[in-house]
Amino acid sequence: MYGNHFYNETTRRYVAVFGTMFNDIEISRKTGSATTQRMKVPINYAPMQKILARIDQNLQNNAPAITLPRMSFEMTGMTYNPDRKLTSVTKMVRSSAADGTMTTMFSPAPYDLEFQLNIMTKYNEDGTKIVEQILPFFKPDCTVSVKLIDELNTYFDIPIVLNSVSQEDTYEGDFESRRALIWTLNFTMKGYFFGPVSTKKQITFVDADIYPTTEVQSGDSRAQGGSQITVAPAIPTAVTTVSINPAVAFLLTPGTKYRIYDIGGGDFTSGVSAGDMQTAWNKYLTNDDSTGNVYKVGDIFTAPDIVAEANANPTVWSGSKVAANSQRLSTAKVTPIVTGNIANDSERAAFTQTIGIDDDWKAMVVINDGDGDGATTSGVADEHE
Amino acid sequence: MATNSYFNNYGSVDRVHGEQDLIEDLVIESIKMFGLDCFYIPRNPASRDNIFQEDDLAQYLSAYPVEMYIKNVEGFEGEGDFLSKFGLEVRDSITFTVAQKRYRNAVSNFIDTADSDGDGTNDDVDRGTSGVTATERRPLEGDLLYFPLNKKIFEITFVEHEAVFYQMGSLQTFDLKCELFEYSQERFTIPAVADVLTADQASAITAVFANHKTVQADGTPVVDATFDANTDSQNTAFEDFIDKNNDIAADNIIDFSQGNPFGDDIF
Repeated sequence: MYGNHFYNETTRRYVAVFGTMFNDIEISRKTGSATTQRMKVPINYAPMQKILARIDQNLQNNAPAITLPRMSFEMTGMTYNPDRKLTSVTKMVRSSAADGTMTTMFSPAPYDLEFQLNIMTKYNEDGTKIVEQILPFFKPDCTVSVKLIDELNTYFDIPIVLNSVSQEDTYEGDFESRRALIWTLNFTMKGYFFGPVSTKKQITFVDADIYPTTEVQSGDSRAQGGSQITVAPAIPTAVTTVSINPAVAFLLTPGTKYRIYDIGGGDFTSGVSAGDMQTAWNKYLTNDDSTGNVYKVGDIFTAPDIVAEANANPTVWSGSKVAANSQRLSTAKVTPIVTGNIANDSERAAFTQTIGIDDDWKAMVVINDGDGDGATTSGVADEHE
Repeated sequence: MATNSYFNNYGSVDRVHGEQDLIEDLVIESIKMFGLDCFYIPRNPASRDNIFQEDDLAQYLSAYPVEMYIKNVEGFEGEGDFLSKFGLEVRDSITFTVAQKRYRNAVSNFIDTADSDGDGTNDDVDRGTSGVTATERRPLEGDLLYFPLNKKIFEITFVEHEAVFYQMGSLQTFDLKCELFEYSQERFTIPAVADVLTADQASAITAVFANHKTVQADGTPVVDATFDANTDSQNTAFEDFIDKNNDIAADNIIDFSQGNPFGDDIF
């Protein structure tokens, strides 16, 4: 409809769910207190292809009249239920970390599906043994969680209401008529029907051309002050790993700009105080733990080359001194800052990261020189960072 | 208003008895000529329920060959084969005619003296027919007949003893109204008996429902059903939901995990 082809197998799932609720019923027959027989009650979806019924149940031509007890069920109809209607524009959303996509679907249409369960037995008490295993669970509904749309991977709670129970027993009549003992249970399954699933790629990149002024200076056809601002997701990374080796401990790329996302130390419950963290940051960024700078979330810094510093002055960056700093800063997180011109898609992809469902992330802002005046690394960039 | 004594065919004088015996012998002979060797399988009650008035643990422990005439010569009667809510149903019915004298000699006498279920009492006591005089013995509704032509078992639903209405003042036959047996895990344990039932005949009878059992042959309870493969796969199909469109086995679509408050755990 409307040019969309889709099939969510929803009705098929409802039938499977209903069948699953009753497909493991067993009954037993007893002599005194000893269980003499215990049997599983077959169940099948009643409407079936006639040729298959014939082949399945009477292949050798020597079948009995019927094997009892047995159950069957069928869906007898469905009705729109306006009481459960949700706003039409509400969307269900699911993002995928694996392929960086986002799946959406408009709210479903609520429908009541009518099911009829039939139980046929040869003996009266076989019927009561089956029915009594069903009735206690419906008060008057029994709710199951069902995964209705694979793409959303979401379980919906579907109440199944037992509306009525009736018994038919044709025990009267002449002796040549068969006696049929049939229980009929009518259910309403409060289900939904879903429209097409829309899968879109995750927005990982936004280009926005912002011009502080549209005035054009003489001799230049472009607007002045134009900077291209690129927003890309940035996943915070740890500053260090715990190690006494500077070449291993410090993880950031020397000379690259980063923004402090988490100052580190957590709740300072592991014996590391806020002052200790400031000392570690000062030692890391100024090579002097007594500088007294106060670093905070959002500050931008250029990662120093600790390995080079260690080579120049091994006594300052060695052994336990590295271990203490790397241990503290391993709890700190930073996001990268990229400045410069993005010339093509591959350069753009180089700093575009895929965000997982559980990732904590912030936007990474890149300022490009939109007007070609070479001002992206000047005050303009700093202003926007 | 006495009947004419010269034409009295229904009295008890020896002259009439002789003619009645002659007719009975002719009936038996004609059934032997045009009939079929069937097997009479008496029902052995195991546990009658006096609340619901039924016996759901009936046993069939013996079989006796006896010749019978098939009355509906043009085929089975009844509603035939049809598809119902519960799958294929076969409602064939058939009427057998057995000579009363042959029934008593070939079947009833054996039931009187057999203890098929080994409970210390003969089968006629178990069946509630002890003390019934020889001339009153008759087939019972609920007993079965094995029909060797199509290897099916029929249940006697009604015994008509007056189908041929007092020919020469006596009854020579029983008409057995039968329907194809509705199987509900009844137990068939029929051994061969010397001079009565051969091993091949016994195994042929017990094999009829072998593929339809949901309990083991010896009647012991089983948890995992071993009944016929089609039914079992049908039951399993619902919970092993198959994503048919993608030709892969999808995860079970019902959430029975412990974290689900609506899941299986609350049951």
